[in-house]
Amino acid sequence: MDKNSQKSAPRYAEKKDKSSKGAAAAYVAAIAVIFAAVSGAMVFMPRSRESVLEQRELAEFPTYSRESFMDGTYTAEISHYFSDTVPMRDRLMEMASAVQEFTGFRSDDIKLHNVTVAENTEETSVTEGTAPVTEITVISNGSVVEDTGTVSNAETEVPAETEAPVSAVTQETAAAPADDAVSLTNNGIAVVGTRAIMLYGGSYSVGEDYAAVVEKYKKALGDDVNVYCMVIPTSSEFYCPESISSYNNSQLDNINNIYSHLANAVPVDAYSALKDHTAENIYFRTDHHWSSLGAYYAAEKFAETAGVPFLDLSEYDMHTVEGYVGTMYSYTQDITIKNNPEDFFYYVPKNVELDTTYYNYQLGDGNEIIGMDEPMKSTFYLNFSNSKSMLYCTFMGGDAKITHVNTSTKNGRRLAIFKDSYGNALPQFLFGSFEDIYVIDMRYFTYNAEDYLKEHGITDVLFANNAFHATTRSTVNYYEKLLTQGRQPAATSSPASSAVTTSVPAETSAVEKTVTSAAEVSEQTAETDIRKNEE
Amino acid sequence: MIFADLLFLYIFLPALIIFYILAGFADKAVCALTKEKGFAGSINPVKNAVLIIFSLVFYAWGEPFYIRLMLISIAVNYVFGLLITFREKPSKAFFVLGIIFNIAMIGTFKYGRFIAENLNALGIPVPLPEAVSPVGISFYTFQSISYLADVYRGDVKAQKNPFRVLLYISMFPQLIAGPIVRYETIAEDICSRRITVEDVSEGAFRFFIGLGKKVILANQLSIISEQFLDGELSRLSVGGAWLGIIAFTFQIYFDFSGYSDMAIGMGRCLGFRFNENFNYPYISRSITEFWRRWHISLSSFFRDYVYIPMGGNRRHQPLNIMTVWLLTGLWHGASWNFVLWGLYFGIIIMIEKYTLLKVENKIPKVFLHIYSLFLIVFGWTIFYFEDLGRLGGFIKIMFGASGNPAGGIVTKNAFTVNLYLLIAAAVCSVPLGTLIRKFYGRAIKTSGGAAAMVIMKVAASAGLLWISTLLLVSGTNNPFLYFRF
Repeated sequence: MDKNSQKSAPRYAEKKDKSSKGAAAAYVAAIAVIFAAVSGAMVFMPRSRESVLEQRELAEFPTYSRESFMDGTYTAEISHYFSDTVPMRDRLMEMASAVQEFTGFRSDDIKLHNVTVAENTEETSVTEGTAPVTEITVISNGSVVEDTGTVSNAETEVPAETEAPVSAVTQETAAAPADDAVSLTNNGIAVVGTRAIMLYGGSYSVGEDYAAVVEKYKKALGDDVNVYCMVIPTSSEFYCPESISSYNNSQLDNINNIYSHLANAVPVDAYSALKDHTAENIYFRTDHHWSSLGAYYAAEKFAETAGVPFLDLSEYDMHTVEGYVGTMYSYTQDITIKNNPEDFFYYVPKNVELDTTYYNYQLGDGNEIIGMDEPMKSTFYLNFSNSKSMLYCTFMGGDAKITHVNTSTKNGRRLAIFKDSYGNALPQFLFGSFEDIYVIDMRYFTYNAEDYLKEHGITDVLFANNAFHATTRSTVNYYEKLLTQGRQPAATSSPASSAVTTSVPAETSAVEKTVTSAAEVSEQTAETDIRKNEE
Repeated sequence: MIFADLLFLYIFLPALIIFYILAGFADKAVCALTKEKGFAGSINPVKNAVLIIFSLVFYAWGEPFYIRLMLISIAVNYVFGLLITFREKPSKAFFVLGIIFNIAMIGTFKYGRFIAENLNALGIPVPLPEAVSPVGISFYTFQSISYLADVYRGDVKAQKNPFRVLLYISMFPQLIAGPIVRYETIAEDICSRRITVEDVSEGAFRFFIGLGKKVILANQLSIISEQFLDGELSRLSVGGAWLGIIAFTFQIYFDFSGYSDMAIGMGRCLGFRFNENFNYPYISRSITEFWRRWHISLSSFFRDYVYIPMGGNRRHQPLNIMTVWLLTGLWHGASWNFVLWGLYFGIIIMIEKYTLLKVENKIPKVFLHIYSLFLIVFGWTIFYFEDLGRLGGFIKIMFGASGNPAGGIVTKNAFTVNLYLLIAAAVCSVPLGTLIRKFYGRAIKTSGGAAAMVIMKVAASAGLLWISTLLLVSGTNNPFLYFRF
């Protein structure tokens, strides 16, 4: 160790010959032009306002306050704003996904996204009560599309539900305890060939509670009302390759377990109905939802179980929108998904008349309910062909609402569907089976469920959740809440009453906080990192 | 602000370039004027002013509150510099006071919580202060210490102009992540620097290289390391553990050296020449060599300001070595794993001194490389896990002592989808750049070669900038590791 090495450390050799000077000048000039061009584009081109790809509105320029400046959030938010609203954001993101594809190759045509590092064995994956904790917080209930509500370019007759921007990360309003906020039931996403499948990590114990809460509804409603329970398998059950099956718990086992815990509610075996048709397009490849065709087979099974008439597929007009790339691209940013769009399709009955009324909820920043619009009449099918990533919103325009469809079918049967977004594709096949259909999202409902169902003379109640939701704690909590909330007489009759605005937001916003902080840990974006680092 | 950020790249930098060029013209006018009047001051006062303003904005952007701490520190150190040399004979008392001030400051703001926690653990109840650790405090405090020491030793004159001290300490390229620049390195550049087109060419290219290292390599590698190192250990395979820690080994090198490259490159463009901070550390044949090649500005700081003053190899050398390595570890973070990490290297270097270094020439090189890389990678394991419990668990998995499976589909998948990235990282860790530079230097002198070489260099720079921009936009991952320090 000699002291002089630092001082006499070699500096750049001073080259003074002409050729290198000319070369340097040429290089500097070229680079200056390029850098100026890119900088000019970054600064002066119109900023992006929303991301269709990520299905969210982008950051807004922060408002100044002394506190926010002093604690660094103001400047951090400006940095965030600048990179979030970069011109042509979605296009650049797509190019970035293409670049990232060069980091390696897919063996067996598989790429795993956010799959937990577990090299787990069958024993650990199905152990009772151990839902593997996943690092993805947005995904499993798959309501990003529907929750968004506001899309400026969507041609919809339903008024925008809210003006508030929706953050993709924080929009889960899980009514779950803090510790539960991150333990959703998925194990990550595998892109297999051109199909993205969300790996299932559900657990028995939650499924049992789900069965129990369905039974509670049956008990509350009494013998006059039929209660059905349809747990809908997702694509991972049928399309997961053997090599990654240890990350994908059996949905069949979980569904059977739930059904075995039902006493008076009637199970609907959607599973076998779907299993018989796996060669058909019953699930989307680029979206986490099932397709209308999958919903058709499940609805057929339900109609059979409920003893109602059922219209054959030939009684419908099929509508197709090409170029559909669903939620799986925004979740994984896997370029393979983007490059392999599919058709979105839905069915409109030829000979049934529909009278559809929407009771839309207004949502706050954290996706909590802050109010309710006046009831409004519209069509059941809405046009989303201009924002193709949101095509699944064709059914009713999303989740944050109660939908009432009065049909020209007259048989005295009145159905209420309690559902997550999977349930949105079901009603189209039940218009010829029921006189009235009420579609209720478990996350957006402010009345007392028992009172509401009785008041509307419901004869049949269908719980239609996908297997992820049926084994997620927050789902059970939602259903519990719907049974106990709003017992004051005032709240049950008048829409948009004070009960709507006072009781619910307080609760959900508290939960929201925990979800956000959990998300910070796992779903770090570049911007949150910067913010954390600079604090 | 950090360098690998769109706002920095496309607003801060262009604005600085424009103002800096304008300041160049202003300086010429000022110089002409002062020459007339017979003053002989700095030839670039306006440039210095622009640089100070931009540096303070840069710092305040990320640390709007604690910028006052930095300013106080600079003011105090400026005064101590003057006090030390107030009389002809340098004042030891003021020197010691100045050092105490700096150590007390970093001790309070960076290590306050750590110290209090450990006192509490020992049963001495003290209130726990908030962990603040202002950005860059480790770097600017060390620069201040080196300034005072150099002034005290008479290696440099104390700077009488407070703005020049302010510029030295706060200059944004090296402010928050080094290298630790010594005052004497840039003392001359501060008052009279001339920027040639070669400086700008070299500096700009260096910046793009650094940006690419940071955004294309380090950020992408961090996706792998996070996936395997931050998860539940009970579910980690042996292969996954190694894949994760090897990815981190590359990640931290490209992260930190990329940042140093950007700093050196920008400094060069602005007319300053900083010393090199990295010299292909992963090609070392011993740990002793590794530390001559890794974060050179830090290890030479400890050598010149701790090791040698303590007596170097003349008296109680083992004590000197272990002190240096204890401090090196602690410098990296206020946590016990960093202490462990420092002592780990201290012990290895001490052992090497009496064993390996004496027989190095007789051992086949390949074994020396394997030996060094193994100890380096293992070192990063200690470095990574601040939770000692997790560290122990992870080491058990690495060596198959935990019964975790050897591998699995997730590890295999992460390996194949990142294979080219890992290969690129390995290739960029060896002195390929030196070879290319040699080739470029020769080709550029031939008649047809010059144009081709310039075009290739421009294409490479534009490519690095463009891909980095895309990845920053997609921005799934942009943690900067050395902020912790």
